Order: sequence, then structure tokens, then C-alpha cells
Amino acid sequence: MKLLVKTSLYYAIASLLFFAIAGFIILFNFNTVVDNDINEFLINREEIATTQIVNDIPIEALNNYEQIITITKNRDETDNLKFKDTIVYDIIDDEFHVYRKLNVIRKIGTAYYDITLFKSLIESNLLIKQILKPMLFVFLGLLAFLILGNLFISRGLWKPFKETLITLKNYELGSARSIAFSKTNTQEFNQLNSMLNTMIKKIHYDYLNLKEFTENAAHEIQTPLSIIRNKCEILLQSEKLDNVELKHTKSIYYNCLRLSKINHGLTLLAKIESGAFEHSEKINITKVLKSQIKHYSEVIELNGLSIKTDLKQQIHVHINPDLIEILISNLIRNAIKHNISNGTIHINTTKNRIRFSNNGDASQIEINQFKRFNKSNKNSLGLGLSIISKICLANTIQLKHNYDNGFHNFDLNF
Amino acid sequence: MKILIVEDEQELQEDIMAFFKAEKVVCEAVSKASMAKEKVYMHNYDAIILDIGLPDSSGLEVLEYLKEINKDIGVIILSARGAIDDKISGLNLGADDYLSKPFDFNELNARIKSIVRRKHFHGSNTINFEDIEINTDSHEVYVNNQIIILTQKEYQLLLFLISNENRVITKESIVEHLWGDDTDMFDSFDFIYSHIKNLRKKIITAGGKDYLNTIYGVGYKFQRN
Repeated sequence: MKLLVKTSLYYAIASLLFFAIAGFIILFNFNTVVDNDINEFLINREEIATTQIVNDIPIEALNNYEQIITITKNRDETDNLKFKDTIVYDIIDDEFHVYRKLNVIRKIGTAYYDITLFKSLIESNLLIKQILKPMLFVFLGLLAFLILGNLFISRGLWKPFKETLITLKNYELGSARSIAFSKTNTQEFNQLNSMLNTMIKKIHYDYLNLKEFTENAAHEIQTPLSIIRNKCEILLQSEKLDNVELKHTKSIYYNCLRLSKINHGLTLLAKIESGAFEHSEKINITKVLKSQIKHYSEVIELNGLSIKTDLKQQIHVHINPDLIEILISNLIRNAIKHNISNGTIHINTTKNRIRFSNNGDASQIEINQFKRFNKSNKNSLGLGLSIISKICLANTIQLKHNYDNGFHNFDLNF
Repeated sequence: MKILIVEDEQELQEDIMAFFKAEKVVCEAVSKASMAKEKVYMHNYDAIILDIGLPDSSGLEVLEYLKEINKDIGVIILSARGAIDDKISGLNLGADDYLSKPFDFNELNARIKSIVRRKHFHGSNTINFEDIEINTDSHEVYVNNQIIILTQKEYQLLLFLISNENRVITKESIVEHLWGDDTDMFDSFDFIYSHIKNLRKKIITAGGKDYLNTIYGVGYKFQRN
């Protein structure tokens, strides 16, 4: 969940809770005020009625639909004001309405009067409703304002953070371009940026060091290897060596070649990783494929293999010309190396896909086959598939492998 | 033939020198670019073996200097880096060939000879070895003045063997010469045997002598009997 959505949600929940409690308190207060008001009104009316009785106005004249005065013999609870909410039938509206009733027994002169007064509650209920309605609107408006305000403010406040993220995303380790974060006036983000900057500088420095070391090591190793190889050649020319000595010399010679090949492969991997093949152009991959197949046709034949191709579909991709050649030649080499005797290789192109299939044992399938130095075959260096997957990864080419019916299929999806 | 070796690694320099001296080639060796410039200014060479990584500057500078003083000398670049960039810039600057370390002596020998042939004879060029005659321009091979038809690989093989006469050549050497980087595509180099056999048969059928000796367990040697 996005940070902005999260904070807005929390704000909304907190505000709603607050509004609910505040609403109840306001409603309660308001009810009390209105209640007191009505009671006061009834008490006033009662006072008027009592005065009128004292002034000898006949009680028949005082009785109306909101005021009932009778003479009573009940002498209990004199002067005790009794309020009660009740329902009274309204002839005009032909329905029942809620009324507040005040009942009191008064001794005026010698007689006892039972005075009952009514006051309709319709108006006050209406009043409460009318007041609560706009208040609800105000609350909702406030809520919307809060959420929207939070969204806008947060968006502004978090903008530098987003910029930092984009800068980090676009940064490529090892590229000559140094990373530059935009300045903000938020202390925390500036702190974050400066810490990231320090960290990246350190990583970049270490990376360059490591790269330089790798390059130097690869480079420096070649000269001693040259010397070893050439000394072996000199030894092989000598006529004084017996067969055992010759065999040992040949073994040194052979392993020296092997070492230099491994070195070459690792250097290539390091170069792909460090983005040395950045330059790209539009390339007809089918053409590259054809020329590579032609290049390897003799090797395929000498290994006792046959090849079938279907290259009608032309595929064009933006890629580095050297890399695509390395990629395709490695896939063909893989298909040759890990084949069975008298096996076949199928290469075909369909829309945006090249498939390399070769006969092979199921036992060769391993999860780690794209890792370095994973070899199923004694003679291979175990770097080919690793180079293939590195190139695919660096160029967002989808590489898929499956084993089906005695065939290893490697698919390149562009 | 006179060549200049520009290589800063002392041991390698001595080995190359010993190798070419055994081939009856006059050699001089220097280990710095500045010294190489001095040498090429003062003397004439048929070919230069030039290392790219030199202590005082890049070997490419020597190439630029050669262009500057307008001397047409065959140059073969040696580079430990194996970098495509080096190869391209070297060849652009007028180098004739490129070999990456670690290299094969026989390969270096064959290439130097090929460069010198091209430079000296300006195209019309034949190699004679006893009764074998190779026209390196038309890629035609004659045995006793009778043309024999060789495949591309057989032709390359014959040229390589003749360039390295009297030397033991390993199967690895041959495969590397014929297939370059694809040497690791073969589980065994036994198929070389069939190439050798075919070549030998074609020469003998045309009335040539058999100059190819098999050195058991190591490789082959092309020599005059």
C-alpha cells in the first residue's frame, strides 16, 4: 500500500471517530438545552394559569387543548411538578404527536386544582434535525478537506523522496556518470540523500577497485601464461625428451591453454556485467544467425552432428552487435558441445523468438546450469551458459530452457 | 629477413628472439616505445612484433610514429588484453595483424612470414618447398608442376606446416590456427588426423614426396628428408 493512501486512511479513520464522539456530545448538549427550554415554558404557562385561577377566571374558560384544569380531591403531592413525555391525538393532522406534559396539583384558596399542560415537541425535534443536518455537512466537508489536504501536502512533502528513488533507479553502477540528488529544504531528505551519496561513492569506489583488479589480474595473467606456453613449445621441440617427459610437457601445455580460455571467459563476463557493450544499433538477428551457422557448419560436421534450420522469419532487435554475436555463437556452441553422437541441432525463428534445440541427456538438466563452472561435460569450461544468461539479462531478452522428448530447447524471446 | 621485437617482458622477449634466431631471422629487441621509435627511424626492418602494453607508453604510439615517418613496415600487434578495441584501433593505425597473448610461436611465425611475403612481393608471390609450389595469391598448389585441388582447410594447413618447417607442431597448434577461438568445440583433436591424411595422400598421388612426420603423442613435423 502506498504511503499516501496509508496516511489518508489513518486520517480518515481518526477523523470519523472524533466526529462521531463530538456529534454525540453536541447532540446530547443540545437535547438538554431544548428540554430545559420546554420545561421552563411549561412552568411559565402553569404560573399564568395559576394566576388566572387566583383572579377568579372560571376554569372552563381556561381549558383548551393544551391546558386541562380540573378540581380534584386528591391532596397528595401538592406542588409537585411532574413532567412526562406523552402521545396525544391531533384532530387536525389526524395523527399522534409527541407532547411534553406537565402535571401539578395546586391549592388555590381552599380548592385543589389539578393542572395539566401540554407542549408539542414537534418543533424542537425539527429544530434539532435542522441544526444537526448542516453540522453533518460541515463535518463531512471537513473530513474531505482533511484527506485532500493531506494528499496534496504529502505529495509535495514526499516529492524529494520520490525524486531520490527515481535517481537511484536510473543509476547504473560503474557508469562514468556520477549520481546527483536534487536539493530539498527538508532536513531528513537531505540527510538521506547525503547518506546515500556517501554510500554510493564508497560502493562505486570499491567496484572500480575490484574491476580494475579483475582487469589487471586478467591482463597480467596473460603474460606469464604466454611464457609458460612458449616454454612448453620449446620443450616440445627438444629431441632429448623421452615419451613420459613429453606427455607431462603436453599436459602443462594443454592446461595452460585451458587456463587462458577460462581467463578469457571470465574477463568477458566481467565486461558484460560492467556494461562495456553499451553501444547498440538495429540488427537483423536472423542474418547474424545465418552467418554464425555458416561459421560453425564445418565444426558441426566434424563433430558428427547434423543441423536443420528454419530461418524464414526475420527478427530485428536493438542490441550491441558484438554481444548478439557472442550470444548466438555461444548458443550454437552449447548445442554442439552437449549433444549426443550422431545427434541433431534444430534452429528456427518465429515471431520474435529463436529456438535452439539439440539432442541431449535428461541427466544434464540441473537447476544451476546457468551458474558459472557448472559443467556436465569434462571438456567444457562451464562458462558458456553463464555468458548466455548474463547477456540475456543485460539486454532484457527472455531466456527459457526446457527438456522435451530427448531435446534441450533454449528459447530466446526478444 | 630482419625483424624488431618490441616487448617489455624480458623472458618473453628472449624466447621470441631465440625462436626467430633459430629460424635464421635477424632479430633486434627493445622493451620501450621510445627505443622502438629510435630503432625504426635508424634502421629498416621487414617486420615488427609490437606489444601494446609498454612501460613508457602504448605500442599504438609506435604505430602512429611509423605512419608519421612514412615507413611501410609490416607490424603484428601482441596484446595481453585480448580487447576488441585494441585490435580495431591497432588495425586502423596500420597494423597488419593481431595476436592476443598467450600466443603460439608457430602461429606467430606463420603470420610474420605471411606479412613479410605480402610486403616484399606485392601480391605476386610463390612459396617453394622442394617439389611443392604454393601461389599465395591465387591459393593454388602445384606438386611437380601439376596442380592439386585442396580444400580451404587443407590449404591453410599446408601453408602453416611449410611456414614452420622442421618444427614440431602440436595438434592444438593446428586446430587453433585453423579454427581460432573454436578450438574448445572439439572433444578430441583426432579429426586433424583425417585432414593430415588427406593432404598427404593428395601430395603423394601427385608424385610428391612425403615430408610429414608424425611425432607420436605430440603432433607433426614437416621436414625435408
